Amino acid sequence: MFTTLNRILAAGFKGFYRNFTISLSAILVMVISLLSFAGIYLTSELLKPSIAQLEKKVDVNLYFETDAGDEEINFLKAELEKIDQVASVEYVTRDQALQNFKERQTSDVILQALDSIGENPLGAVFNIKAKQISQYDEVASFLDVIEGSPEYAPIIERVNYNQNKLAIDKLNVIITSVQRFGIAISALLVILAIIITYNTIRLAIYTARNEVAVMRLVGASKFFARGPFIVEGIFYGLVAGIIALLILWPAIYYAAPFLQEIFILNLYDFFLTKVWVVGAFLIIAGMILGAISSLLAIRKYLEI
Amino acid sequence: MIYLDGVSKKYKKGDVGVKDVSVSINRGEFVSIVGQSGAGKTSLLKILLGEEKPTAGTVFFDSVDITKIPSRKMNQYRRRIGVVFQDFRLLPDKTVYENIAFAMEASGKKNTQIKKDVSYVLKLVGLEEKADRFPSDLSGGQKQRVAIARAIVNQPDLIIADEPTGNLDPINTSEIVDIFRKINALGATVILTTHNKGVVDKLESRVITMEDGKIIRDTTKGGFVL
Repeated sequence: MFTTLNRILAAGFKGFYRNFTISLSAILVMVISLLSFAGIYLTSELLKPSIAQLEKKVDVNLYFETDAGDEEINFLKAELEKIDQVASVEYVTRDQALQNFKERQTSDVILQALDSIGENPLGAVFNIKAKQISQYDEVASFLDVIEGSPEYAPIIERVNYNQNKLAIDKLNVIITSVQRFGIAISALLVILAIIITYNTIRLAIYTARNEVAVMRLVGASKFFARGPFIVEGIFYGLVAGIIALLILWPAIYYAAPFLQEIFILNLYDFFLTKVWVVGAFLIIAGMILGAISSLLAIRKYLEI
Repeated sequence: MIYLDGVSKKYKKGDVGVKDVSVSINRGEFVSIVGQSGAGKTSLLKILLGEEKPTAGTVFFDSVDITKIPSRKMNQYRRRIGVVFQDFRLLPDKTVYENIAFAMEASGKKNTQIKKDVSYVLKLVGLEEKADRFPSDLSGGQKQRVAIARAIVNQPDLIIADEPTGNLDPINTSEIVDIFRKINALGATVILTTHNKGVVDKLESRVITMEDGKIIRDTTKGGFVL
């Protein structure tokens, strides 16, 4: 068994070496399709921190009337915190709201105007955060109900959705579309890679037709006859995976500083933490691609 | 050892390869099959090799009906047969030694055994000096001897030779026939097809004559009669 396996590996490598020039196109398409997969993964990782940061900025604000009582406000806070979708309710008191407002103002005119009023014109505020970005709609609609209820309507001035939500929704739509488009392109490239590798193995089978005829003649097993072509296909994938990694590595190294200006993540640092996973993925995916293509070609063209 | 009962082979285009052939061949026999081109000799050999299935009849090899062997087990059957062709079918990028060793490698033999057996068969066909040569360096007769060595190296029960002397001059033909006789004397059954009257006459063994896919004569110690 071990002897046979050794012979199959040796024959597969010989075939790979013999057909190297005709296998170049197969390897090239494999490299491109593997890179497109890596591209999808890295793009989504690149966008994650930007989205996370934007998500942190999303909240729903509930503004109270200035005459809203502390007791009612605290009661409502406790009620809101009971809701499953609510992660936190930050209570900004009237004094705190005034303080915050003053800190934000740089214009003396406004501050003087505020002083001239004599009393605090600002109501208390709840800054409510949902557990997940998708739950804001539910939280907001719940707040709408509260706002309309006879119990709370007199003390609530308005409920305000932070505009970030819209931006995030749009961003999410764009990301999903880009990912879908990327996956479609990658799938197409994978099919192309399989077809080209399939044809390369078909040619390899044709080149080795005399060997195959002799194998048939002397009663070689299917395993012995097919093995070298599967090994050859796997070798194509292995080489394609290594080339893809060798292209990706410096490409990320040079692109990372520019990307970091737009996105928050340093892609190269991130890539270094995942280099084994990405490398293993590229190589294993390449080998699987090669093996599948070979198996398809063998089933059709190798009769033993 | 081999028993064919009412074997016929019709091809899709309506050509008839073999018509209702019944024959039995015993272990250790040397059988020549003669006949003109298109008489059905090669079709008969292909049926024996399991390369073609007959459209009617049964083919027994040691009590096993080979027409019923599933394709995945066919290789095990083929290992019991050594085949020699008119056009040698050697691998041009392998040396004499490697060509013969390849047949053993393909059937999963160990390297130590390969070394021993290849040397033995090379000696048997008188080519031990040419072990490292490539087929392109050899004469027709030498190439055929390599092909014979390859066919016998796995020690098959049956040797099938399809026109093995077809491409050879009389001297080489005579040498090849001698080698087949030697192999037969060592215990293997030999079935050989030929056009060559000299070969059949020299062998002085059983001769089956075919015409239009049928066996028209079967003589135990015959000569070439057409």
